[in-house]
Amino acid sequence: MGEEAANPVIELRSVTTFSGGYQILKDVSVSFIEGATTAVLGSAGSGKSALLKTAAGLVVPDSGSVLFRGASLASFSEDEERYFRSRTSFVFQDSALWANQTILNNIALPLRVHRHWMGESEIAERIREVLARVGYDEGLALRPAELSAGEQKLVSIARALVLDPELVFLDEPASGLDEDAKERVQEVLDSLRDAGKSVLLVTNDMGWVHRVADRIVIIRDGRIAAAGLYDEVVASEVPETAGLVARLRARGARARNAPESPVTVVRPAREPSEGERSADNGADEERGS
Amino acid sequence: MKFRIKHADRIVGLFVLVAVGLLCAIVILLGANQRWFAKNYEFKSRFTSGTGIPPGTPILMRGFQIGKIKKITLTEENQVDVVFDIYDTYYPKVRQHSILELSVSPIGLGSQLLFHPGKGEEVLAEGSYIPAADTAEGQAVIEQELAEIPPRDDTVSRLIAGLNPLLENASRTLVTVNRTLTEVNRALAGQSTGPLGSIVGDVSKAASELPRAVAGASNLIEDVEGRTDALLTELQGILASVNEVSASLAKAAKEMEDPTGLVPKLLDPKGSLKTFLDDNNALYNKVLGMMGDVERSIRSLREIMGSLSSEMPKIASLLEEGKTTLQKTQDVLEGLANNPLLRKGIPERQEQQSLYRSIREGDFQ
Amino acid sequence: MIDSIGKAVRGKLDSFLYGLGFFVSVLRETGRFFRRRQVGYKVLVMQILFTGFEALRINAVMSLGIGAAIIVIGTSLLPQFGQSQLLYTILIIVITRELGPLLTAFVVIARSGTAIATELGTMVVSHEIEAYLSVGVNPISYLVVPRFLGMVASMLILTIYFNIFGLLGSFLVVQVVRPVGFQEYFRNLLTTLTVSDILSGLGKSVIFGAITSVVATYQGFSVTRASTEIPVAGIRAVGQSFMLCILADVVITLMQYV
Repeated sequence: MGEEAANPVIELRSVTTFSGGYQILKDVSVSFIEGATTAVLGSAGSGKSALLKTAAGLVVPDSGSVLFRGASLASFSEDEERYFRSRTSFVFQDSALWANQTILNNIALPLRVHRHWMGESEIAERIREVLARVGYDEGLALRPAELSAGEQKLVSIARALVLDPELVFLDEPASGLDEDAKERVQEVLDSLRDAGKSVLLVTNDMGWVHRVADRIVIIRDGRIAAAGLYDEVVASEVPETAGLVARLRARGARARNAPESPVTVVRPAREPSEGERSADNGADEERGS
Repeated sequence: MKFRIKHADRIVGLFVLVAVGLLCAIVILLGANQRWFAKNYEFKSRFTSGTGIPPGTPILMRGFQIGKIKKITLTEENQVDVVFDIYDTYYPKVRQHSILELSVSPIGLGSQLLFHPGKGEEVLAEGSYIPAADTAEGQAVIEQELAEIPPRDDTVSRLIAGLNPLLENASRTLVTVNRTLTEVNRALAGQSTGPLGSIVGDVSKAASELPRAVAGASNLIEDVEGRTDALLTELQGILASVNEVSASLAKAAKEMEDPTGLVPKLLDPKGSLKTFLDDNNALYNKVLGMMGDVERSIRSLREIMGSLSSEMPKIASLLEEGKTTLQKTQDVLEGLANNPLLRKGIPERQEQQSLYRSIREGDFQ
Repeated sequence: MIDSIGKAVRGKLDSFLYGLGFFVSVLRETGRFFRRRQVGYKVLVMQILFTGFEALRINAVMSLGIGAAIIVIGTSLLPQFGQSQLLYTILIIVITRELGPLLTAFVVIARSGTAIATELGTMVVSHEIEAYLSVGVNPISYLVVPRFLGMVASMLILTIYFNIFGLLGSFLVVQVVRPVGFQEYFRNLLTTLTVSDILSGLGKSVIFGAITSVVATYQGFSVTRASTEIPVAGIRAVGQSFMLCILADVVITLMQYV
């Protein structure tokens, strides 16, 4: 089954999720290593967004469990849950800014919830800091609807960074960004990795994967097709991942070295049943991300 | 819109405060109006029954509520102990010899608990015992006129006061008529030996009182509330008399219908009937006049009852019954007048409008 | 056939239990709302502004109209039966006990029930709810509780205003058409009105507010992902709120009179 890593920050054990009657994740077991930037790859509808949301505890699995540093999310007390939320953050594919709040309040809310001792001036100071980091330079009193999609994305990344989290989930952070903004977000990701933060990244941008990913998880039809270090996955010869791997290979070798760990290719433990097969097809149509 | 959002706190605060303020004002006004905060003085009394005096019953004095029943309990001796409150403004009215009286509405409109202040100088201390009017103490107070009991100026009492003599008269007349008829029957049976003249005298005396009563009754017609129970008792008495009359009449009629028994008797020159018949219809005219008076009095009653509305079909039917009997009496007497040999026979009577039905129909006008 | 009935019943039961669970968690979070000074305070104020203050005008017009109609009809019709005193009883039963809370609830449902359901539905579709979850904000305590409290408070306060406009304001309206003695009117009104009338009306308004807000938020959250579900959720929120409020009204009234 899955790779037995030394210190997974998030671990999924036999996770199955359903959405709208379709099975999205099928008995998924995978570990995300502490301090690494892991890219989750897969075609549209393969379940990568679902995997990310389940790992972040936003989707409760129908069966199986999700562990944060060895502790099941389902068994969290309220304080533990709050701690987990204060140490993690999530960047949504569609930004998901709160439409009826100003940009300031959108970014300030996590601080107000988790750093309630901070005064308003401190909060404003901190917000200016993170916005500068992502390169947002519009007003703070604006509402999300008044911003372009790219600006919204930057604000949502700033919101994710404002608590200085240890684990960041990013769902397609590059979408809707112009080249400049992309570059700055890449710099942010670089800085996160340099700071030893864990990053889980869902993206279709192979350039980003090539540049920032330490590890790769490839998901196909709701199952993990491959998971492991970048170089090893790229070097592997597994039919299910061939297309993606080929695109990564085309980018050539990377300058930096990968950390130690053997390649793991996760295959389905058994052949999918008839019902699951039909659900697969449905899931392909269903999931947009 | 912008203004509202900017001043949301202030607007909402005002919105809530005004509502709460107004609610408090209403509750305070309610309290003041319904005497939540005023002091009440507690007194005790004792009744034979708890009927009509449940807790909360208002205590009235000359139409004003001066207090209310607080608690009633059934004692070991099967008496009802009553604790009641008198409002502070009326406390000085609670003087020595005050009494309570439960006045039951005669037509089923509930009851009133009346307070009659005593004529004593001394204001009674809180917790004192105030007797009920129907107890020995209460009666003593009433007899010695120690309490201020207002004249019964309510229409009901006046009506009852007027009706009673009328009914008494009607009843007395009927008794006399009955006696006369009995005599007539006996005469018809050939048993009578006594002087008919004395009977006739009695009858005319009784009858003479009736018209006065009838005149008094007509004044009462406008007062439209009556004491059902009392009236019913009174009327039942009348009905009993009327029934006796009708029984005698039936006998007389039967006698007359039987010519075989009647004719020999009539032909007997020593029979008392001869005297009866030879007095130039004097007796008959007297009786007939009397019956007319009784009928008039019954008509007056009927008018009174008509205005008493549909609540009393029972009385109406009683009266109807009485009236029918009286009509029969008249018929028979007329038949007698046409005797000895049933000259014209007993006349067919035109059916009169039923009293009972006319009252019922009156409801829908 | 039997299977489908069984399935339908089970489905209904499940959704009923889920709704009940939702209601219980709303109540639990409401308890906490007062204990910790939450960021939801501002939402509460805005909710009272939108649901309560902004509905005041239509509420006032309605209660003035109904109150005035009752007074005009009552003063012309009732004396014919010798029952002039009944006017005050009818006014209080209609304005304070029965129609006041129910009509206020209808106005609030029509205005804010739909608004809440569609707003929350939109938030679900645009992943704003997930965004709240991701930063550790409980959507029930942050989104539902202020709306719940705001709606209950608004209903309560609107019902008070309905009474004031319906009982006192309508008196002034009637003065224009058919003058009624001020002293007489208010003394009779205050004698007939009891605290239990007021409490009954206010109690109903609290229950209606709770029903409406819970149904509206529940329906808002029931949207899953498509924006086409949002208006459907709004419609369901209104329909269900109406039904439940009327049912609750019947039950409460029966409890008081039977």
